[in-house]
Amino acid sequence: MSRENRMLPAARPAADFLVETLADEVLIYDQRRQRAHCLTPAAAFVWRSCAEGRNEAEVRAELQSLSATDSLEAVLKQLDVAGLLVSSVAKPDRLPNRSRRALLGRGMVAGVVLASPVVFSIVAPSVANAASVTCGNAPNNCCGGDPTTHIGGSCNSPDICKGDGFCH
Amino acid sequence: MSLNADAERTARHALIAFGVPFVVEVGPGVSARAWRGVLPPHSRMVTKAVRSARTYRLIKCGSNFVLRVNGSPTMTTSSLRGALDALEGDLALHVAATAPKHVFIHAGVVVLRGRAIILPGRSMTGKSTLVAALVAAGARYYSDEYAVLAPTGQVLPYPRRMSLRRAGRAPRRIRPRTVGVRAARPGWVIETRYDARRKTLCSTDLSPGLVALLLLDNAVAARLAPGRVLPAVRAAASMAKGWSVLRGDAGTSAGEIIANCQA
Repeated sequence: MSRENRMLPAARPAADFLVETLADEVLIYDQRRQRAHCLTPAAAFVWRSCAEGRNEAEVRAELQSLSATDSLEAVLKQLDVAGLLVSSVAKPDRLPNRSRRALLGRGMVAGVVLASPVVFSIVAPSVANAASVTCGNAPNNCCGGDPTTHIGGSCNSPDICKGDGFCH
Repeated sequence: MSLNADAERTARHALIAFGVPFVVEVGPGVSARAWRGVLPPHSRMVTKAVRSARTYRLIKCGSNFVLRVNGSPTMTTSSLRGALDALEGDLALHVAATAPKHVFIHAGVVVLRGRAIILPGRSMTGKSTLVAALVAAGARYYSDEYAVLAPTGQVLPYPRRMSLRRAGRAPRRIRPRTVGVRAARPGWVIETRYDARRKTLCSTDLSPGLVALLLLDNAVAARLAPGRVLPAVRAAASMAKGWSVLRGDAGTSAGEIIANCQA
C-alpha cells in the first residue's frame, strides 16, 4: 500500500477511556491502565482521526492547517508511547526504527520541530498517594513521612518509617 | 481497668460528613471537645441509624490510648494528641475517598475577592505554609488540605485547623480567625515548586487541559471514581487560570501571587 493511501494506526477501543473536552484540548482517563492524558488540539485531532480509521494523507494535510509545528509522525509516536493506540506507530518510510533523538535531528534539519510535547501524561494517584500524614504533639511512633515516598519520615533505629506514616 | 470494661462504657456517635456516614465510639478519658475537634469540617450527628462502612473506637486503656478502626487496632500510644491525629487523618481520607458527590483534591485553598486560589500538591510541598502566608496577606482561608469540588466545579470550604510542619517537632495547629463559609468559583489553579534561592516568582501559564490534569493528579478518588472526578475537574479547570510557579520564601511569594491575581 502506498504511503498516501495508508490508514492511520487504530486507536484503542473507546470503552477503555473516559473523555472530557476542554476547549480544543482533550482530557483522557485510561480505565485499564489508571493513567490520564492531556492532548493538545493537534494530538486530539490525530487521536480522533485514528479512532475514525481515517487515511494518513488527508489527516496529514489537515494537521498542517491546524498546527504548523507538529508532524504527524511525532504526534503518532507520542500517542503510541502514551498507550492510546492499538498498534505500534508505523515509522516514516525513510526513517525505519529511528530513535527519538534521531527523529528530532531530522526534524531540525528539515526545519520542523518534531519533539514538542503534544501528549502530557500522569499515573492516576492511589488514595494513599493523596494522603497527608500528621503527627501529634508527642507521637510515640509517628514518623510523619509521605506515605509513598517517606520523605520527611524519621524513626529511631531499628524501626523504619512504613507506608502508614508510622515507625514499626 | 480491663479493655472490655472500658469498651462497655464507650459512647457511640453516628455522624455524617459530605454524605459519608461513619461512627465514632469514645471511652472515658477522651473528652467530647477533644474528639469533636478532629472531625472533618461539616460533620454532623445523625439520629437515625446509618449504614457506616467505618467505625472508629478510641479508648483509654491503662496509660495508653487505643484507636481501633472497624475492630482492628490501628494505633496504641501514650499520647492522646497522637491518637486524635491518627483518627483525624484516617477519617479525613475516608471521607475524601468515598464522598458520593464531592471531589476532594489534595490542595490548599484561599479565596480572594470571591475567587478561589487552588494550590494542588502532595504532602511536604509547602502548601500549608503558603496558605498561611496568603491568609496573612489578606486572603480568606478555605483549607490547607483539600479543595472540595462540587460537581459544578465550585470550591467548598474545608476549614480544618492549619497544620504547619516544623523541623524535628510536631506540627503547629492554628485555627484561622476567619474562614470561608460559601462555595467559591475557582479563579486560579497554581502549581508551586519551592526553590530556596529564588527571590521572585517565576511563573508560566498552564492551559485548561493541563490545569485539569494537575487537579486529577491530586484527586483522592482519581482511581476509585474517575467517572465522577473527571467532570468536576474539567468544570473547575474551565473556570480558572492556570500557572506553574517556581517560588522562594512563602511570605514574599504570597504577596506576589496576590498581586498577580489582582492584576
